Amino acid sequence: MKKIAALLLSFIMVFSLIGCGSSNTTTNDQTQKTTDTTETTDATENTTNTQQGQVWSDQSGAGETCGDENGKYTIGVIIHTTTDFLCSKYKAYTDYLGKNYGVKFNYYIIENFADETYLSAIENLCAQGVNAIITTNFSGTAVLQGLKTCEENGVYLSVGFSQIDDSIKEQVYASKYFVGGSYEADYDAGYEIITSLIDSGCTNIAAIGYEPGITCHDRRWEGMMQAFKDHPEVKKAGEYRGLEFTKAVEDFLASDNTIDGIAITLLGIEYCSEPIKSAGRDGQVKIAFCDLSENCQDSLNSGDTVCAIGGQYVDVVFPFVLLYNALEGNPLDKVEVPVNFIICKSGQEFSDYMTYLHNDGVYAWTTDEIDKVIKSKNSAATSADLLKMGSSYSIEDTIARHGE
Amino acid sequence: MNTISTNLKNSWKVILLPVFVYALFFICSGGSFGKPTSILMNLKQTLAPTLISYAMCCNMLCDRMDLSAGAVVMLSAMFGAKLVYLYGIGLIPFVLIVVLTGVVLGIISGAMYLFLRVPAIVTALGVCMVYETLSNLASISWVTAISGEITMLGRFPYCFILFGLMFVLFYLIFNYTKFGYHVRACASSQQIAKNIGVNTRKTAFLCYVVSALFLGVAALLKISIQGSIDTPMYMSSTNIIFNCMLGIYVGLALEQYCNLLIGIFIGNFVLNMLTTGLLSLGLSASLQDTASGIFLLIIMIFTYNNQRVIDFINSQKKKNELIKANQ
Repeated sequence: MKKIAALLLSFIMVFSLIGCGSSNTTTNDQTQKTTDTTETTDATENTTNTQQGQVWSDQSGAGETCGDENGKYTIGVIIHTTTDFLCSKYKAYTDYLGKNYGVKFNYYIIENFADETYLSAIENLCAQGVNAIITTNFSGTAVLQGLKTCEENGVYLSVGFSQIDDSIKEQVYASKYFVGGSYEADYDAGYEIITSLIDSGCTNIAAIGYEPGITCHDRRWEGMMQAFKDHPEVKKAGEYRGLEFTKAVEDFLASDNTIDGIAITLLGIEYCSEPIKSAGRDGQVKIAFCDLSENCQDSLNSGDTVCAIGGQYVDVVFPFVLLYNALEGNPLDKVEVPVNFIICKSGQEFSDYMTYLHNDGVYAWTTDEIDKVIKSKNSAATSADLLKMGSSYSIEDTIARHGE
Repeated sequence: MNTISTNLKNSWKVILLPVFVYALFFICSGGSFGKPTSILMNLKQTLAPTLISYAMCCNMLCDRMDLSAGAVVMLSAMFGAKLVYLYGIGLIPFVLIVVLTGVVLGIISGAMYLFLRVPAIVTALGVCMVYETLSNLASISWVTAISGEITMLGRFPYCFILFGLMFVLFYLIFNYTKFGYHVRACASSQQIAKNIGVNTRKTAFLCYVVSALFLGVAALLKISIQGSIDTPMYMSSTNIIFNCMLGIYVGLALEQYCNLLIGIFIGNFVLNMLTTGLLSLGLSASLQDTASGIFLLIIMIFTYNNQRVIDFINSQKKKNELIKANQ
């Protein structure tokens, strides 16, 4: 009786929240009604709607897959979400790539960034029979353990959004199954966040970062701290590294009413806007951050945000190209590609980003352009081409290649 | 007259604690801490944690540790925020959904405890993990945010009105209902309460029901004031309740001078002042935790032992007087 009651309660608990599941087109249409109707915002939302329409095309709604359903290769992607501004575009890009190159992408959503979670995800994907794996934000010595599992299963591994630690680089590169990876200029982004605030006239800046342990956030933090060192004329109101960002913003604003800038390594508008309003400091406190979002347009237009950095969805191209070439039997030289960020300091720049890089159907590199780094389509392709792509990534470069 | 004088003395003692903390940080920070706007902000920050403390208080008094309370708050807030994101629902449906979700989730926690008959902390841990996983499934990103008119209840004076209503409700429930008496009876001794005819199982379930309601409203206040709710990971939802538990402990320490509910509010307010005060001194986040812990220990040691110290001094005085008299 007790067991039945316990089971029943568990089922109620799980199914009462069935509405929490994935979104669909109808729901997003309704979200649109409530949003401001600036042209660009509408464009952003339409993009999101259509992207989700494509990406969430799986009839059952259960499988996080995209690309070519019957593709010759299956690539597993380990990532923390597929629904936010960045990762939905990331997934849409893999859908686009997969359909053009005959690759099925199998997404594995992780709920935290612990090494064990990554290792378990790699084991599970290997057990599912994928041909290759892209791990995002995977770092530290656990990469070696993950690679061992890949070697045992004959699965290629590539790392995105993160750089291999120097202490294990040699061992990682020695493995046949590691093909390379890509990472963003996180240190420079962190530095830019602070200097943008300084340039906009901020003199007392609070620094907020994700808790230590994730390479990209650690590097952004290092960049921020270096900028403070290089600008001693600016006061650092305090620093917080943890997981309670909104509370941190509230605490900073309550502790010092001369704070006029907040630098945060992730999603600034979402974490800072309401606490700033709540503190009655609307318009007096400027923010700068990494990770673009739907709300950037209005915030950049109003001047509340002085710098928003992002556009890193393109990161997936590099692991994909490296893995695809390896799967085709034509591996490129192992390389970790540094990829530029897109820096938006005005509403116009964000609007351009949306138009040329993020809206529905637009990508930084089309498949025609990516063909040039696929060995089976261009025998002259080299890793140097990938490095060039990463270093030249910008709105201007995209416009020059296939804009208008 | 004597009662009035005692009440005034006690009120002074209760007010002394936040005044002391305020004065300490005001002086140490050279006046940068403690501006009126900062104190108002601190008060706003205190509202949701105090409601969570009230929600947990009945269970804690009866030696039941509900570790799932933080997860209930986060999941309810996230569920409401997600529905705003997906369907653009209005304020009233949002309020109802967040509070009702909190009520349902809280009651499920209570029902699990009663039916499974395993220690409350074990049940709560399991439920907490399930709720955190559901939060992860429901989340849009690292954070689920809302903005605009939907956060109206988080603004002045609505947040204080809502809190005031809940305070009065809990005051009445705790002090003037049969349930409140039963809770206090169980808090003294479950066995004695049982022997005198209190239905301890029913009281336990009602504790969870009352807790669920307050957690639902706390979730509403939290997301309305903050405008966003983080996706819990690594049991981070328990962070919320540990601070609220400290508020309860301070409240219990102050109970000898004032009503427990007022003590809990003061406790949470002092804790918030501590955080912002330490920040204004330029302490880093990790050092803040250490300093908060030490500071809190000092307060607790002082509050719990001041009577003993006074008694000891008095007894020493009496001893000396007796010795002098004998000489």
